[in-house]
Amino acid sequence: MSLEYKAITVKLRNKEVYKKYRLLFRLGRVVIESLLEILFEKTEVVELQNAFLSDGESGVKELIRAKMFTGQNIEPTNSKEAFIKQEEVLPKVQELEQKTKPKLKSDMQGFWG
Amino acid sequence: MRVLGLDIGFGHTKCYSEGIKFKFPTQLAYPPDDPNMEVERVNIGGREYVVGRDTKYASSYRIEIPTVIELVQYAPVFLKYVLDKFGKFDLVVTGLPPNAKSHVSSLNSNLKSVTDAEVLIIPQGIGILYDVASTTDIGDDAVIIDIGYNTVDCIAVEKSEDVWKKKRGITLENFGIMKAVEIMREMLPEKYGLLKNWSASCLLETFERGAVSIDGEKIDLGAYKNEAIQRYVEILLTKTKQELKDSFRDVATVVVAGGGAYYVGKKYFGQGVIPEEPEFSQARGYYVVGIQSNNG
Repeated sequence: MSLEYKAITVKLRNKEVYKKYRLLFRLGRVVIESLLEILFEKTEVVELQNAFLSDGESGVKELIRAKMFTGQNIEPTNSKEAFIKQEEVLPKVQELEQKTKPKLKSDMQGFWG
Repeated sequence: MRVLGLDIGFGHTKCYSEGIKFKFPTQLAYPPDDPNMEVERVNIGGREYVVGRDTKYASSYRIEIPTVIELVQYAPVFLKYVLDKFGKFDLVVTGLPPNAKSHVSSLNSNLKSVTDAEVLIIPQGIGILYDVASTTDIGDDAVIIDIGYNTVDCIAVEKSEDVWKKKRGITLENFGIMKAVEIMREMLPEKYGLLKNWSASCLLETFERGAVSIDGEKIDLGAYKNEAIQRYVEILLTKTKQELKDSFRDVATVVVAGGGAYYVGKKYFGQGVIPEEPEFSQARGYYVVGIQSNNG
């Protein structure tokens, strides 16, 4: 019996995950397939879809963490919020800087044409 | 108050706000019919699009944006893409070329169709002025040269009684960084004939890297790239001087911004100012305009 594979394209956004994934040379399929098998034992596709519809990608991530680590005392984190909090530090300072700078004046209408 | 500076160029769209500095190719396409293809989709009124880098997975369904008319038409798709990524804003500041004032109201209503935010549309060039003048002393007059993908916009400005005004403005069509790419294409020898038939956007990527891999062999194009840049800058500089005449001669500062500024050294423009990450200068300036307008 010949094995049939269905090729899929998965774009990884997390750089750290991507770097480690690259090290899995030739093992990518078995690792991802095993993870998906475990995941599908613990949850239904429709649950994942509902999580996405209600809370977007962060909802899906939280659901997966909750399902995979039930009883292991790992607190799900909202990665989107964490990302925004981390990114906000510098720009808030920038915003304050802009607010305290002398205001520039220009004849904006005169710039058309 | 969350303010978004949004600079939609023909090459890339740049966004700047609190915690956000993001750019993506100004490209869109209808999504392919492959459910396994993981591409980000933007949904507008039930119609789905693929935006940015993901369009390479849907190249047969690509929508071209050749003029400002299409840019205005599809601007809400790009804004929605940004809103989906970064959430809601209270004020969106964006711009149009100075000669496109007649498109302001349609751009405004198109953008309002995807956001509740207030929308402010200002002439391009103002963004760079606000970005640079809010951080650097540029004297009382300057020429702002915005080197984009297709076009180069030049504006001569002066400060009179503390108010910046435009003295003169010109748009050089087909003088953007793609011209340097075309020059490189012309210079390539016959043995690289394959590259001569590549699309402009493919060749732009090769130009940016200064190298290409063909059949597993890496070909260094650095020498051709450098020569093309030198020729391009010379052509652009003489053209700009000719068009702006006295405005260029007497000016205190020349500000060079836009993505093309990476290739144009200060040495070519005398007392030149190249803002940090020049491709974001316009969007950063839009953000400054938004913050300052909010402060009354």
